Amino acid sequence: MAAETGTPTTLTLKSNDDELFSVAESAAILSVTIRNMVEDGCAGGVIPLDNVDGKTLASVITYMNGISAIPADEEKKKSYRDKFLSDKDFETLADMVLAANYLNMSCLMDAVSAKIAQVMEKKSVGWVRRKFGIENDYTPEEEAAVKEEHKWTFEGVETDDDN
Amino acid sequence: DGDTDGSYHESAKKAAVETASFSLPEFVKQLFVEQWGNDAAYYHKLIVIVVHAIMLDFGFASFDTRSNSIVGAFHLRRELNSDLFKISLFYTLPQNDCGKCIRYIVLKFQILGDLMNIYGTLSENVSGERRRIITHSVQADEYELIPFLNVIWSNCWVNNGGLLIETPSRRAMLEFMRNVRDNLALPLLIDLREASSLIPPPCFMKLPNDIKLKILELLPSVDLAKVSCASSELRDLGLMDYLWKLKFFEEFGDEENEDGQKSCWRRAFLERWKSKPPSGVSITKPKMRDDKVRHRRVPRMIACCSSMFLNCVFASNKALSYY
Repeated sequence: MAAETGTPTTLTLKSNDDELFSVAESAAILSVTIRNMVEDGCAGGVIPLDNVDGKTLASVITYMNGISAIPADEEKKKSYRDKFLSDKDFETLADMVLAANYLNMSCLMDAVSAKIAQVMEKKSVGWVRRKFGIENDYTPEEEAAVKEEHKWTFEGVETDDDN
Repeated sequence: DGDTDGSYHESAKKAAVETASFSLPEFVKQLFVEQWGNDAAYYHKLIVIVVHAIMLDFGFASFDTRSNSIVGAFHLRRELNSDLFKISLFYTLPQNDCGKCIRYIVLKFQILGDLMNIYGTLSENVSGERRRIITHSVQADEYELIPFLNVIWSNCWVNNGGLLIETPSRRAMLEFMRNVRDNLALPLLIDLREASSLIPPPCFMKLPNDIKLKILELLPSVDLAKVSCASSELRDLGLMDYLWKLKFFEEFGDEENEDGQKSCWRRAFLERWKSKPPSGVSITKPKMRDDKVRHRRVPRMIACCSSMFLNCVFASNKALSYY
């Protein structure tokens, strides 16, 4: 099962919902997980990626192709990443960070985490709960205690419409 | 003959790859064809269809209030033929398809010149319920959206990759779609799941703890503390002391020759914070947040630790209860 050589190699990736994607090896090895497979010579056939769905994988591949087309210029790469993530909604970001983790792509992982953190900044607790689907599992007494404990964070902060 | 075999597989693979299409524009295109046939297009209606596509793509099911049941089909023919801006679109969750009083959500559209406001709310409370009903809204700027709607429209009967070309109008469209998903679909989904006694959609909480911590690391200290108030799990994460060591240096820098050996960084942080003038400066102050600084200062040991270690930490946090 030796990898073919000579022609520019493309790899075929399979998502967990059985969609196939072809991607240039040079772009795909941004993922350390895939790079290891290539180096071990087990990337000849279809590479199954059991933890990534097709929709997310399509985005990740767009990113792989986009970022690998940029020569070593951190500024440009950063602006590509910003632009790439600018229209992603929160659910997609959550899926992408999971995929980046599984694929072991640190650059994407860092960028998406920063983006999620940026969404959370300067928001009220109620907003964060609603927006991120976080269940409030405190009793009213516990919640009052937690709020008291974190009182310092609410000083001088404009809260939005929520309580 | 190994070669021919190989090339056969190559072409089969290629064909399979080409049929994979996941983009929302493709889906919108498909809906346009379905909705309009060869009729003339009206931009308002196109925007309504875009929103409809996003809702379906998000996992909502169309709902018929008269028969009180889920409608399987995509089409909006009846709605679009009625007076457009008396349209209400109803959606529910696919798993809600039983029981007497199904909770659903309503979308309404309002035109103000070139702007279209889209409002979404949960259906009225059933008697005896005391839930605060919040209206979520999103605004569409027709001028921004029309150019790309035209691109989708004119590509409806042609099969080419025209939708993928990067243009400012495509970005405006994608931005609008993101806005609808984040500010309409997701909050409505959370409201609806809550009203239907289902757990909230697992968006942030589905992330493993090491990723959650990574995100918390990137938050400014005030936000880190505030996010910790959202739930007990987040509180447990937000108490991880290494986070506060990180925030300590971020807020106050190294210059005060800290010995680096504090027993509780969180307490140290709070003490320093309180001794500062409480004018909320740190909220607007730009932070030293570029990666180089971060890497120099903080070993990211704990972020990569196993969940077993985290569990130990949680267990001890729980044991300590509120300090």
